[in-house]
Amino acid sequence: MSRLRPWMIASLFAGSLGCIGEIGSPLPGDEPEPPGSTAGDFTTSPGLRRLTRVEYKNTIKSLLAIDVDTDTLGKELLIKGHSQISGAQKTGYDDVDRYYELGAEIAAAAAPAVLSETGCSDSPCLETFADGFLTLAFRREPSVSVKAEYMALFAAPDAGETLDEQLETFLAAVLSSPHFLYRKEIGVPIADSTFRELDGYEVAARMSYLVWQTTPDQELLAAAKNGSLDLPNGRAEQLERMLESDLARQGARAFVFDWLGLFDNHMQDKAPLVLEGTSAELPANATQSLELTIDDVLFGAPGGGQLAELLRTDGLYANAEIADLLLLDGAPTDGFERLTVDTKHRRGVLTHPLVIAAHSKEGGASPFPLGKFIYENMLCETIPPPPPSIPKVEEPTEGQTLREELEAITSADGCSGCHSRISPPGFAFLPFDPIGRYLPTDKAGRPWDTKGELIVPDQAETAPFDGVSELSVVLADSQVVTHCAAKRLFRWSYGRFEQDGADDEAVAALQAVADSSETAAFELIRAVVSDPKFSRVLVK
Amino acid sequence: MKLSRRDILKRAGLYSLLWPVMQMVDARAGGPQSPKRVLVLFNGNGPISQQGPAEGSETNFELHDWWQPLQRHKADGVFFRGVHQAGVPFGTHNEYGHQSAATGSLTARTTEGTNNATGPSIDQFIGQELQKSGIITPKRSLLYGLHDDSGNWGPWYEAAGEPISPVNNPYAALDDLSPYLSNDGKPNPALLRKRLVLEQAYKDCKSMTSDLSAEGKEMLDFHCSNIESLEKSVSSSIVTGPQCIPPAGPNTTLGPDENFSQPSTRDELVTAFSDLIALSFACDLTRVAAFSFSGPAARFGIPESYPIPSAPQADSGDSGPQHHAWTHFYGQSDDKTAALRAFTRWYAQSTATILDKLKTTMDAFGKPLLDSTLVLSTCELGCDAGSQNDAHANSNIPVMLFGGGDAIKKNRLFNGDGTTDSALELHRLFVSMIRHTGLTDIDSFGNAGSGPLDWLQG
Repeated sequence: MSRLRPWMIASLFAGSLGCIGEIGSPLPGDEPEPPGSTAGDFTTSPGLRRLTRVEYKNTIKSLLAIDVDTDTLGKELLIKGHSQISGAQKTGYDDVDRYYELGAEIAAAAAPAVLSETGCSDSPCLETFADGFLTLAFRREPSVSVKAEYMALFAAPDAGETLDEQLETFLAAVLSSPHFLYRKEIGVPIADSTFRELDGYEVAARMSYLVWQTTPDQELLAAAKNGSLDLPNGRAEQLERMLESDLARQGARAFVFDWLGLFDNHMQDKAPLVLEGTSAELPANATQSLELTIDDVLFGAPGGGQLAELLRTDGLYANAEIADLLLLDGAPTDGFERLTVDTKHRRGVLTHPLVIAAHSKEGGASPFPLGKFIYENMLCETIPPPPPSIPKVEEPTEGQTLREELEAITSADGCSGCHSRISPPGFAFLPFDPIGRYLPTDKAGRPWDTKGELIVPDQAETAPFDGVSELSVVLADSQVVTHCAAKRLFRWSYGRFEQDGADDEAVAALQAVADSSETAAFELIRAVVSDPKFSRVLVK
Repeated sequence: MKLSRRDILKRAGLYSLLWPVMQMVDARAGGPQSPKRVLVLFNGNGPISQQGPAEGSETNFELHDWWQPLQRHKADGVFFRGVHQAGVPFGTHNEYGHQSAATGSLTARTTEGTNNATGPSIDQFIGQELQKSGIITPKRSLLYGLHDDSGNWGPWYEAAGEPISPVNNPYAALDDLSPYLSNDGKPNPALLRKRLVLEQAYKDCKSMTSDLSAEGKEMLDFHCSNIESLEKSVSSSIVTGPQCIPPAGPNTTLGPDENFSQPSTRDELVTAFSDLIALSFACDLTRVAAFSFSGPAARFGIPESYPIPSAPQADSGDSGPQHHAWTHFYGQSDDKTAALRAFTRWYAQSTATILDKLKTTMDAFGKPLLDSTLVLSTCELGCDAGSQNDAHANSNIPVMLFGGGDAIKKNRLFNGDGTTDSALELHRLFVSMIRHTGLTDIDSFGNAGSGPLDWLQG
């Protein structure tokens, strides 16, 4: 039960260097595309959105106030760097088993606390709890027959002999049910439209997972039941309440983590030499550091901050270990504080250790995966797979720097097309080791060459920079980046890619909001929820 | 067509329910019969050399120095030189490298030049086919390993485009098996509860499909069918009644919170997982297991008792005492030879440890597990004939088979020509493994279908 922490009951090269054969290690961005027959453009919704591991974790915390480690669950299949594409998430045999096992573990941890809170000593007494729990867990009032089936579990011979065991069985069943594991977005047909209209409960769940990354609370479900969420004003009213909640930080963090390609924590998947001197808490410390930095930028000022500011900020939150990694003085003896970084070498979240670690191999430099990450996640460009015939790698010339060697390798025809784009931003990261430590020189004591020019899609001029700090400013100032972030938010909200024609207006509206230099991230959320299509689902 | 007793029962849907009984009947009819099992062993990279695993003639051969730790199992094995990986289209040079190699090594099918396998790996395939044929065990298959890949590609695939990662924590692995182990003769209450919960989940699942689009229905139907399969598996083990006592913990001095990625843990983990595989086979918790000594490209070190020279920085950006860096060192050097020898010897030593365990553990029929288990050992990369520079190739893969009972004529060497069309294709050995488990109507696996390797029978 070490994965669980019960509280009181309350409510994933070109990065494969592509062009030089293999250089690719299993990096989070190297996800496979769905194969032949199952491949699609994912511009429609299957009407079901399986909870991601983050959503599952947050939902369990909301329902049972239990911190659960969801690492045992299957990873989301990443499609073009997105974890939320609902049509790609299939639930296999082992997934079913993992959901059961984790659900049973959670049930065993929760049952004693439920009995204690309710004071119940027989199953009829638990009916009120069960009724409420089913509504919260299934995100809608259960039908009479579903409720009856679940209440019957208490009396089933195989449910256990004691009330505690029977309650465990009930909870495990709820947590294994597809009603719990999927957010339903089925809707009803609209005449002469490819869209379907969602009902109030479906809208509530969509809002809740967008803004809070967790299940709707009782007030939101009540608004769904009384019809408020069918109207724009009703949705707006609930949205303002939700944005004021601390849970909005959880939602914002999740979106930013997705934007930064942080699907798993890779701080400790590194070579022993790299990890020398770090503690077992490094992954957790790095996560907390980034979360607090996101909170600071997006929630620190009245009215909220901008997404682009995350790339530009000179402040990173750090405790002693993270400050040590960032070479910063003034670390607090206890907890985290905002420390100002030396912007000559480091700036914004792209230089955060957690981000660098996520896109770096176990040892050595990873300029190409990092460059690919910048292109795909910041500029929404797709880097094609390596060409079928990769030129043979030449012997490195003695005395060359790593950059010179890699540039020589990737200068050949068939390589340079991709590498002229991903290499320059990747080389900006050369001074960082795989967990984000800044190294002033290479092993031979030579200074790094981090100069480059960013080829921005659809723009005639390139943007020059020297080092990742300047690169971050270039990206923060780029309309292409803000438009890309807006597009990612659309995909995040709807669990699918935008469809030409059907979604042009919604995406353009979102990008127009993002264009304003004064626009806080909150405004983007308001724009998503106020769009008339927010209460609709596009099915095939 | 004359139907056998098994066919009739299978068609009546009773076969899985009566499987344990049928085993006993079979035993009475023709003597004790152990279930047929398979174990797949894989390591990233490989020796990157034409050497090994053995040299000589078919019946008069010696294990190469790099594979000497397996000498004590020479009589249990069949050794192959010059095996070629069909279905892994990465040519004769390192054009596509590890991505094709890793995803194609055990699937025999991958999309050219990408990291996308287009079908399940051999272990998953056999588990799935056994299940379809009515042989239901609590665990369809087990996948353990020493390196839990951080990415989404590797040799292990449940289905096309669905990579899976090995479990690298022996505590989690034992926790996963424990519910099925009980020796008090009564049905395990945890299994009864699991069946009840899955029955409800299946009901819910089926009830949700009515309003869904075709895309949604397909997605949910897949989920429902997997709930149903798991529920049947659980039901089957309740009927069987497990006879095995769960150990207090995995056989290791490592704690549950250990960093299982560290080189220093590897020997203990091999021992711990060997025990768990043997336990699972002996108790018939599964017929299929797989063990990954490393992930694709194997970017890690091994225990200090196998000293590895440090590689200079390679074109991959890697350096240091790890396997992958040396595979990108093109050319000859004493250090490279020493490194590849050490890695290969460690893999051979670890393979021998697993074989020891299978040889000394008896199943419910009092027979050593190795007698009924066909063990395949293969790796990710081969090498081009006559060249040490083109290190990433799909030819000359060193492969070994162990165990499998009398049906396999052992202590032999297969001398193949790994670079031509007439070479021994690895997927034929996969078909032989499939046939070993009793799936005798399957003739192909992966991208080609030329049946099993009859030579194995002598």
